[in-house]
Amino acid sequence: MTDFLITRTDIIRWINGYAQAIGDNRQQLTELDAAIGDGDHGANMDRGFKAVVVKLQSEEGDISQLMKTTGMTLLSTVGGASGPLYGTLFLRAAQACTGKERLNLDDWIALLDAGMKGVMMRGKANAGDKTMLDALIPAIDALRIASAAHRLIDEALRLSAEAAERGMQSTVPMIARKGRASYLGERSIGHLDPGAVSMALLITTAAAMFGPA
Amino acid sequence: MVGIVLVSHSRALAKAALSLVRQVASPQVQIEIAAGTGNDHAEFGTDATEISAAIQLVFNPQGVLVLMDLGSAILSAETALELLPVEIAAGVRLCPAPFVEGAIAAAIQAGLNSDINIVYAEAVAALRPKHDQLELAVDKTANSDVAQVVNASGSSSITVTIRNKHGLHLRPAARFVQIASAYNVDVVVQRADSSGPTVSGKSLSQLMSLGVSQGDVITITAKGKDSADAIRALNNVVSLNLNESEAEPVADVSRPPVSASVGGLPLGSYVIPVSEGIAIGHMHRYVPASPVPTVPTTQPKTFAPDVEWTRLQRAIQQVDESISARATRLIALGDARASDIFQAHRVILQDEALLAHAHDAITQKGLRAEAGLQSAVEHIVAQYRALPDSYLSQRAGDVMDVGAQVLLRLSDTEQKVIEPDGVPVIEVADDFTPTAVAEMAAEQVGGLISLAGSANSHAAILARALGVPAVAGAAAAMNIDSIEGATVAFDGATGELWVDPAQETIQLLNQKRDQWDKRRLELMQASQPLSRTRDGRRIEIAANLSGFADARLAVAQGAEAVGVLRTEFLYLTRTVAPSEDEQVTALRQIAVWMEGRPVIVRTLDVGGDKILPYLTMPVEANPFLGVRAIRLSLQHQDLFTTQLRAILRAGIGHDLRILLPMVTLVEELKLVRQLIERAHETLSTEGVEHAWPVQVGIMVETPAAALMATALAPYTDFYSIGTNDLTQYTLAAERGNSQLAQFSDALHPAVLRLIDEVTRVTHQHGKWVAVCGEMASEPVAIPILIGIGVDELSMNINAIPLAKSIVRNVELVAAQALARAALKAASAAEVRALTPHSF
Repeated sequence: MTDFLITRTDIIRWINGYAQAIGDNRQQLTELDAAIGDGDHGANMDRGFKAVVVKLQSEEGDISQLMKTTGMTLLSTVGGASGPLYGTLFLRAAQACTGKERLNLDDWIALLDAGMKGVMMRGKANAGDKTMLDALIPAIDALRIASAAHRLIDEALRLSAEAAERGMQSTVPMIARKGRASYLGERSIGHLDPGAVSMALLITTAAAMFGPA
Repeated sequence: MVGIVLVSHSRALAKAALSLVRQVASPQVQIEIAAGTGNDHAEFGTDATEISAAIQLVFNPQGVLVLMDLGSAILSAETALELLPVEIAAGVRLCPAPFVEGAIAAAIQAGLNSDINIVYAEAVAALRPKHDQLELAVDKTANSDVAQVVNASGSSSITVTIRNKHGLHLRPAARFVQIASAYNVDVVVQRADSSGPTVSGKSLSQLMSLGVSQGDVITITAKGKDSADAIRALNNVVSLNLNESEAEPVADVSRPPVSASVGGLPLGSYVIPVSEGIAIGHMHRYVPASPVPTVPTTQPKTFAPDVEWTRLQRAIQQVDESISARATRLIALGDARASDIFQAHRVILQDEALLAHAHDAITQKGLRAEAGLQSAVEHIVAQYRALPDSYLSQRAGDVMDVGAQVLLRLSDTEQKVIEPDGVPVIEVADDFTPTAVAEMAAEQVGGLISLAGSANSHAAILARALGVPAVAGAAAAMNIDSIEGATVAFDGATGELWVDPAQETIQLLNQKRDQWDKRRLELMQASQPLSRTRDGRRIEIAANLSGFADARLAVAQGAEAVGVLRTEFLYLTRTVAPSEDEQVTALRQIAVWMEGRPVIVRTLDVGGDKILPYLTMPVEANPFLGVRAIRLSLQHQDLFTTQLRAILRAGIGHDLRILLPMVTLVEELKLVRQLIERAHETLSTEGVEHAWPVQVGIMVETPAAALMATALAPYTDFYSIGTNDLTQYTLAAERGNSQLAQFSDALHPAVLRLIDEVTRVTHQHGKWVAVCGEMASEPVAIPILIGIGVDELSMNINAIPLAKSIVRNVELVAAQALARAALKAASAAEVRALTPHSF
């Protein structure tokens, strides 16, 4: 276990790593989405994050600026509902870390929390609606608990990754209440929510990428 | 001139729509499109930055109207507003009109230089010509709420405005489904402007997926023979705002609406609600009764054996007193199961074999009190564990539990769950045993969080019965490794949970709890009059009692009778059977406290999970399918006859009736009838005063008894349906097994059909029927049971005030429709989805 602060380099590694992970899981995301949505989540996210990776190569600003560029790029390139949702998440996150050179655990929590509230506002969704929030909210809760217990950031990130994956799994028995999947009503039961899967991936990638290499 | 932006997933669609619009609209109208994504916008999708740029291109002081197709187009348009400078965003209206029709109508109006409000309204009304053409019902005059069309093909439809404050949310939607389901017609619902899908009016989830808000207009269409009647009924109920009034205290108290904005509370995580009540406190990882702590078995000989033996006896005495005190407190709270558990523990504590072994170890082997006790506990535990029967071998846990308490007492380190600063402790565990729940209720724990668990386990039932706030399934919401000491708050009614809540959140929750307490007090006061439905049908609300102390509490809470007096309390905590006189005294005392109300005395119901030390009871591999209840009484007829005589004698001047547990065969019932007759004859011969004749009823707990209700009718005066066991036997799933939680729902249509059958037969024979068991007090179940025709509901004392207030709000006709729908449902989940209290 080590303790450290999250740097600009960490953020770039995280987003690049996530773009890679989305590319690797594109097919799975598409299949999950085909089961209960319109089958474009994998392709949309892949297109969006590939564009983000290119954009960040020439981005020289601080952490907040990196997040803002990511958010804006997602808004204009993803295409599906995940564009405004992930875009809003990164834009709100950017506002929450304005002027910070490095992030401690509480900064990271504040950043994700602002992003979560943005997603809730944008999607008018709550926990239990079978959305990406079902992975994100438990992850933030786990970080809060870890912070209250004065855990090292390393362990906190690991706990949040575990919570995100549990949260993702918890979408299987849920009935979708938002988006295209909600037209299926009870037939959406028994499927993982693709948004929760891509969100869990975002959190687990952070846990894997942050910290001294 | 109002500018227009067309947002679509498809560039091609947006371009085509634009050329259609250009054909009819003034060339001066500024229109931009924002559509497609990826290279050359060739792929389906929308782009918030493109929308924002398009808005800026057409912007002028008259404003901008944005029309969108679906899904992400709406989210992206909303996001675009955030990207714009505030002064521009303020002039933009996002319009829910149909994409093509709306664009044409809006462009025409904009070309006439109309105000943006008129442009918006025209766009929204753009489906009207299509409706007229297709002869569907439409809202023809601006002020009328209702238009009805019945056409020749036997389908009827109506267009109505929803006036409910929060639109077609859960309760009004459920009410709608309830009415729709009462008719044998197809009912579909759609927004009147045809935006959104056409959904079934008999499906709660589909109806709610429409997201109908206050002021929205919907079209209801019914197809089938009674379509006109169905439409009339639905129109009536919608015009009554789906029976939703501002003051509906019951549901507000028992199930606050699940919403992030309740009382300004910030959003928490959602877990499984188990037992209502608000808990705020420090988290503590609950450590279940562990194997007895190890103590050295060798020690200097300087300990005097008689001193050690006295020490042990004193510690046992003290533990016995504290268990007894806990049991009394629990009985006062009105639950039998908890007190049963403690009575069993007291029996273990006085176990001859345990004491003899400890005595030997101390006096013969010269062990200290601690070591002597440990040796005895290990001996008994080993004996239990050696039993092939899994049920009995589980008793070993109870022995260790009791042993640990004595050891703690010997070392004088009793565990406390209330911290010195008075902040309650909230216990967290993977899951709780019923014993643990009962213990912690007695210790006034603030609340229970189960990481796994379900709302149907025995522990959950117990938490509800004892009024301990509880939630389950919290694993995803928290990490068990990092919780110790953290503050947590939850609402057991909604399942909302906050880890490390802000001070303001705590204050809001405290207020909510105070309101809830106040409401409960009011309910209790309102609980005194006899229970009737809103339209006057009498439903008797009775109490399940399991001892003396709770009789008075039952009266205070508004019980109109004792539906089930569990007599096990007379038998369980002792080494010899109770005498006839002793039982007469006890029964009379309870009858006196019930002040003339009927008291239905259930004869001894042991076997299964309850064992009497003074009866030879067979070791059973499958106790719940073995010699229990009336089967056991018929094997021990002396014991049984003593009880029957006591009931007859105590009935002088009181309304005592006899209830026979778990009757399966007609032969059993005939035999019991003979025994009762014989007891009466003997008492008469002896010249002993007793009540005669006496009413005798049976508990319907087996599917066999339910299906044979007609054959049993000549021998029974009433039926009392024990839904806990009936569910367990019908669905072949042991209640305590958490893996089988989904099999433990008494609302399963199979169980409901059996209840329906018994009720039908009962009323054919001019008799009455009660439901006792957890189900009788479940808010979801009460209207269904009333609809089926059940005459009496008997429940735990604490549940009575709320149940009475629910009954007061039930309308018989609606309840009957609900019951019909429930009986036709395919699953318990479907039944729950029918009623407004299910979330």
